[in-house]
Amino acid sequence: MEIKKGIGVSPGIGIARAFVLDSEKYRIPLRYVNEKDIKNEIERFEEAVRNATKELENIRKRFLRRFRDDATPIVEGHIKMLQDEHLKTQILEFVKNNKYSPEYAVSRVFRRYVKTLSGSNDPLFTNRIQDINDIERRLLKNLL
Amino acid sequence: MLVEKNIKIINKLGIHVRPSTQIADITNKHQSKIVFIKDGLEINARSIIELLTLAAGCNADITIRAEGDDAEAVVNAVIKLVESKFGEE
Repeated sequence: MEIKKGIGVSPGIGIARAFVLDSEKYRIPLRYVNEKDIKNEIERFEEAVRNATKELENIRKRFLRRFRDDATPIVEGHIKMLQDEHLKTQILEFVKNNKYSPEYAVSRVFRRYVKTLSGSNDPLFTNRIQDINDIERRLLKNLL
Repeated sequence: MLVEKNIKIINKLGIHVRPSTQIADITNKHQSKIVFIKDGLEINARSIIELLTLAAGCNADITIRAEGDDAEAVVNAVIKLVESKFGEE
């Protein structure tokens, strides 16, 4: 068991799976995959996309049952971004051509998107970095 | 066939997640290669995530360039969507 000390923000006791808010600060180390493992690594990535999509589908269903449906377009947007063929192609090109691990390939591609959005002067778009980080984190959670 | 047209984004929130999804739904139903260009940045308009990173807010000027057999149709469909403000304010 690990005990963390911090500042209480509400009274009472909460028992649940911990959600680490600042996990977007992590860095995925560069790791290469062997030529003979590339096919399996691609399948592992595809499976992570399928699992991440299932998670979001479940969240969407929960939102629809428990809340107004106002939040579902955001979740639907995340699902569609996960299905983005151009995104998948870029990640898999890094795996096939550079022999990067899928984790590192995901991290490289998403870091570029975050960098591009960070250059915007419009806060409406710099706020979207959170959406990009959420999708990256969900993919990595299913890969690692 | 190569078609290139300029358009201004007129909805209040610009091309955020939902409009990106709507644009990609249209572009992926067509065969032509299509890109959006803004301030020298060229992105693939079939990709939701790339459309989002264009950071095109209200009043942004965009060049739409499509190449292929249905280039004119896809550019016109996208322009119609932009002019409809994506069903927003």
